[in-house]
Amino acid sequence: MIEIILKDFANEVALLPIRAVEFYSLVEWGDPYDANIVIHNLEAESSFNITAVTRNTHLGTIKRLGYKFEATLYIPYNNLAENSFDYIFEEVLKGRYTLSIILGTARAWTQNGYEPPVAINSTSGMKISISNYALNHTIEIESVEFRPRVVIKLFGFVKKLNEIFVL
Amino acid sequence: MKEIALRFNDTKLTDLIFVENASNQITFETVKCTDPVVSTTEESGVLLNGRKFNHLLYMHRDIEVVISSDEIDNDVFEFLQSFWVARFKYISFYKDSTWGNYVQIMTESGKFPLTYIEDIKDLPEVSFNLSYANPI
Repeated sequence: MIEIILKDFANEVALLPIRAVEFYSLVEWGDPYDANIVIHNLEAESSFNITAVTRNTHLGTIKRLGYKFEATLYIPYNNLAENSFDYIFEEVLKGRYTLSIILGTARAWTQNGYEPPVAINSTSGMKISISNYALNHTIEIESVEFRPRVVIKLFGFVKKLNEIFVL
Repeated sequence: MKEIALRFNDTKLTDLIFVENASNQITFETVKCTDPVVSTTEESGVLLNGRKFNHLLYMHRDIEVVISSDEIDNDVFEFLQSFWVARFKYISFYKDSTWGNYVQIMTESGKFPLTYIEDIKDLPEVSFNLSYANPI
């Protein structure tokens, strides 16, 4: 029998703000659309949620059939042409890609060992990754007070919760 | 908890006692498995003098079974389609910790009753309206 007892949460709850998002697209070796794109310094308003798709049963209970992943990421970089957002999201991420939400002190993978900005208000690190055929995104540009900002909405679906990797 | 067993066969079963490991048989929990309810077939009409009449021809028992995506993988999907087109189809109910005898049933004709929850391909759901072959 496996027994797991969770206790002593006091002073143990980790601070894990969304720090970055990483897209990894591998189409075919050498393909121009193979890419690793990391966006740091997302706005604090960014959020993600994983919700269950359920089906009511005639016994008054429910069955869990799958999980929907949704994230809304607010990107403060607004020099759009300079930052190649149109090229990144309309061309590079046209096909399938892996997505990782980087939380707290975790680091995204970079080929050249790039040193990311220092994590603030973080006491731990975690990566939440989805790699499947049903992940996609929308791009919006909205205006807030003194500037425009880009809003990336991500949508994914998995049948089992363990298909979302928490590292 | 399993509620119903579906079984199909090329020939009519001679023994209707439930067999745990029978071939072409799968047991299901289901998300919906109604109790058998009476369904009637009547001949009705109007006489020349205007009086209406109806005549009860048959009574059958019908049940509705819904099997959702948590129980449908590729093999089960193939099984359910084979069940749909099979010549002899049987069900057995699990009640009071025992499986009942097989009952021969009929499916409706037409397209395999498949839908997708929230239009998601990974979430197929199959709904059968089954009718007992023998009248009451």
